[in-house]
Amino acid sequence: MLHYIEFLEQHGSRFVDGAIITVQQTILAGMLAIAISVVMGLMRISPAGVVRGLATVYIEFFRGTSLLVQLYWIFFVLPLFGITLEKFTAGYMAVGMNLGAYGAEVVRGAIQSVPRGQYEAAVALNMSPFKRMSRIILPQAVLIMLPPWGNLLIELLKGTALVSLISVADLMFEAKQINGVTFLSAECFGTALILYYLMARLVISPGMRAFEAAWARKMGRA
Amino acid sequence: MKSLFRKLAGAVIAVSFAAVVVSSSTASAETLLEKTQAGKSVRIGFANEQPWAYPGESNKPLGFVNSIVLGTLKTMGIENVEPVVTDWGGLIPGLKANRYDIITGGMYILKSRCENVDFSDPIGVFGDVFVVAKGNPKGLQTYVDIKKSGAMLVTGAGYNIVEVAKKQGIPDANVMQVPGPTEMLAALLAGRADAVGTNFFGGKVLADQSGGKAELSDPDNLPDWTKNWVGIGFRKSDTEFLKAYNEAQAKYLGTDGMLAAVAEYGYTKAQLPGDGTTAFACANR
Repeated sequence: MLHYIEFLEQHGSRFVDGAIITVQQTILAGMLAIAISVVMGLMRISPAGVVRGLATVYIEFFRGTSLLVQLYWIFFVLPLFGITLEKFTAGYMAVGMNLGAYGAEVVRGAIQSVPRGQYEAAVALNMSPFKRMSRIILPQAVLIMLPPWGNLLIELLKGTALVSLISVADLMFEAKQINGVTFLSAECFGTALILYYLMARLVISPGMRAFEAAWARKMGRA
Repeated sequence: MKSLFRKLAGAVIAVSFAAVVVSSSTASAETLLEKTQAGKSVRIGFANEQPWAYPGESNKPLGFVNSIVLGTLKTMGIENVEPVVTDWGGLIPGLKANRYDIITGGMYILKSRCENVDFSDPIGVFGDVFVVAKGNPKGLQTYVDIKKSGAMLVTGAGYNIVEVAKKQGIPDANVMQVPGPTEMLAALLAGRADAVGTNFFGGKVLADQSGGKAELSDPDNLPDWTKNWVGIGFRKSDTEFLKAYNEAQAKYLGTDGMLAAVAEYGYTKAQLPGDGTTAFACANR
């Protein structure tokens, strides 16, 4: 135990630096994923066939290929086509785009679970499609989609660990570097494990639950 | 009103997408010489290979290859250097994707690598060694021993050892490839592999780190044609900079200042490349 405390005193600051980068990546990737999910989810149920088709192609491609391969593609292959993204950007974009595809199906499912009566009432009240979606359907859909979104956000947090492989200095990268110098695998990866768990258990889970409760109150369903 | 909103939204999306693509694409690829003349930083790429090139606190470039390169660049008047740490297998792809400008990982000059990157004149000549469990229970001293006993050899992804093992007839199923030195040692100590194939310096570090549980085989037992020259990797398009670098390195290599700087990593006069040329290494390794 004392050995572990010494280890933490010596290397703790690097773990914290890495954790900060992980948090940044998670937040940026999360925002991108949410934006993509809503857009793609809505496109998936559009009456226009072309729009639906585009969304389906995006979702199937990004769900069907592994996140690691997509990350390597963006990092190593796109520059050969002239698109060079800085590695931090490449990292959160790949993670966001990948999880956005999963989220799109969650959004679509939630929108389609809103009772038909709501649609009919909105049409009867002469609301435009935009107003119907933004004022009536989406708020109810949000309440339905929040639990699966909690899952996806934790998945996203863990997915950001892969950006260490394109040399972004996140928590996993720092853990591997420290391991490479000290060869103390148990302490290094144990600390990384604990930090990821704390981020998921103490930030994402309670955050999502609080958001669910607040939204349910807003919808009058608390 | 609605259609105006839609038109505006479409225009905004199109413009922002174009802006992202344009701003992130590289301008016409400027060569390394142009970059240095413009005062931009030179990015050096390396992995975590002790004592060759490895990162210290906040990615500070340590290791004797980094020391030689930084020393040579200093004589060229270039002090603005940015270290980029990646894993060994990604070094050449990263260079080609313009993620950094020079590979200082400490790469052996091999034919398969020469097809993808240009190497500087050699910075040294080095041999390989096996790291085995204490006492060398299976008596593994050469590749032939490993092949005969059906032992499991572990090495790094992208290491020259992979090609050598294949050439010596060791079946692919008996060559385990892992990302780097820490995984190689972990595989040996966990009993997943019987021997680690690596370069002599790296092997010494692993044996020291094993806390007495691993030792080195005799490096002289390995065939002569596995002695390799190490060069600095450049993109094929940076020929002018490479020429200037080779001139500067020829003057810096072997000087007292250089040997003093690399002494702490174990590099001695014995490693100096002598007559070896990059062309010979590209053709014969």
